[in-house]
Amino acid sequence: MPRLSRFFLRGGFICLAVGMLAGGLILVQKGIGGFPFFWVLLPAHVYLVLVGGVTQCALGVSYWILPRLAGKGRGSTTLAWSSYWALNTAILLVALHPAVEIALGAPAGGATFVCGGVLQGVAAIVFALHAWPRIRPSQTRQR
Amino acid sequence: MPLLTRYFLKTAIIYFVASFCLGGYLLIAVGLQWSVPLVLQPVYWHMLLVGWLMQLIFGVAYWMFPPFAKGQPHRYPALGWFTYAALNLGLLLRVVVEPWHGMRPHPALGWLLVCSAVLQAAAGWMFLITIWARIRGRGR
Repeated sequence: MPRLSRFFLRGGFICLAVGMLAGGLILVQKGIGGFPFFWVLLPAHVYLVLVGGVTQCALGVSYWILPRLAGKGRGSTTLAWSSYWALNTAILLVALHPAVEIALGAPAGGATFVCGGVLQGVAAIVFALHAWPRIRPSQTRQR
Repeated sequence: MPLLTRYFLKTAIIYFVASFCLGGYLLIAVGLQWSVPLVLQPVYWHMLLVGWLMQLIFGVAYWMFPPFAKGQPHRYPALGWFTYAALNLGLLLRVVVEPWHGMRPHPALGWLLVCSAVLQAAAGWMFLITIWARIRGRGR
């Protein structure tokens, strides 16, 4: 398994575990009440599970198993690594949103979402540019 | 394909069918302007994401990731089964209790939701512990 896939997968599974913990806290509030501030975790819960967990696992496995390019291995690793860093910075910003909003107010919380959104878009575009040429018939099993 | 993976994948497919049927019902209800309890929305999303997608990822990871060591594919085989049991028991509890508690709130039902939360969160962390050592490069 290549190094970047290991980074994506470990990051993805950490996000899943942390996202499920946040979801568990929200469910505790739904069940017995008394912790209304747990609702502030909802955007982080959704983002950590969907983008941080499921998407990172998919990207990690794609980087690992998509066909290699003739003589170029897995293609532009710079693009793929850029996608990893952009995505994880976005995840960190969204995960920190509750703390930022509590400490600095709603405008600062909104700013973390804006920065996270831009970085998330960049991560997707950059990974697509990396993966696009690798989506082709495998050379070892062509008929 | 290992037995645990088969359990994960077959349960995932059951959730896939169940969640798509529930989602289809919700879509039809919106289209025909039927009144549907709002509490079914989170149940639908969690059946789809936890029951189907997450369970599929867990099952395939147990199967396809490099073995922990030669002759020992998993580091903690029992923990994999605990993950499966906790995830499914927690999710099933949520699917049944959340709409019920939403429509007729009761303290006992609330505590069942707490149990569901603990089980699902524990499943996520147990999976992380089980799979961590198997996310590695060749030759280690």
